[in-house]
Amino acid sequence: MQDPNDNPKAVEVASAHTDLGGECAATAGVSEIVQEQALASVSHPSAKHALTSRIVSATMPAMIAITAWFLPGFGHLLLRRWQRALAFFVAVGGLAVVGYLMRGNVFAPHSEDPFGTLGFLADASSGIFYLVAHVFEKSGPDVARAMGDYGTRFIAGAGIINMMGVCDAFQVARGHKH
Amino acid sequence: MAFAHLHHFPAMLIFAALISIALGSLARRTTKRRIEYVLWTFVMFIAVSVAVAWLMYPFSR
Repeated sequence: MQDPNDNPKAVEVASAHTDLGGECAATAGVSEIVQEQALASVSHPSAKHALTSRIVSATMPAMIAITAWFLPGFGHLLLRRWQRALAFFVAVGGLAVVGYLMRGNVFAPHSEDPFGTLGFLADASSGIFYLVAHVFEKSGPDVARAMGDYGTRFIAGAGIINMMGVCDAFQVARGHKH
Repeated sequence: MAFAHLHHFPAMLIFAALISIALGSLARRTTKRRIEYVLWTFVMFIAVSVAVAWLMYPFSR
């Protein structure tokens, strides 16, 4: 079966349809390369705007997910979901900061222990709160006490809750969820 | 720091409250339903934790 991307005629057809003001390049199932070629050949401003909007809307969910990871709740804020944005910021920030104040263990990126790697992934999932851990935990971890051990779970829980928020923001941005 | 010397029960209350807020905002769409769900989740967190603690009590010594 022939790939439409290899067919110069498909590119011509896509360009011709976008000249007419349509969004054929995206809807016909041709690849991004074809879209770029079609965009370059578009002369009418409204058609060019429509095609640009389609390409931007395809990358927007990923950008929302990245911002939601880095700053908990910010993805929902961009999507105008105020309550969820506030809820995730409070929940993730609260869990992480309380965990640090309990002197929980913050896992470093380089670990030979598989559990250490999993711990790092969970901790780093809380985004900016992982980066500011040293601000709240100046004395370092103390897992010899029960509260230090609980703090480790609080910090990991913050990352896991933030990942749930990232997935939710991604789904909302894609239009699969309200 | 006060948080470093928390007892187990207050630590559990904080954990349950924060997790309940996140789950409530995800699981329900209206403000009223979210508040109800947050309260329900929080109460269930505490109730199940205390129940499991009592179930484990005979094996603790």
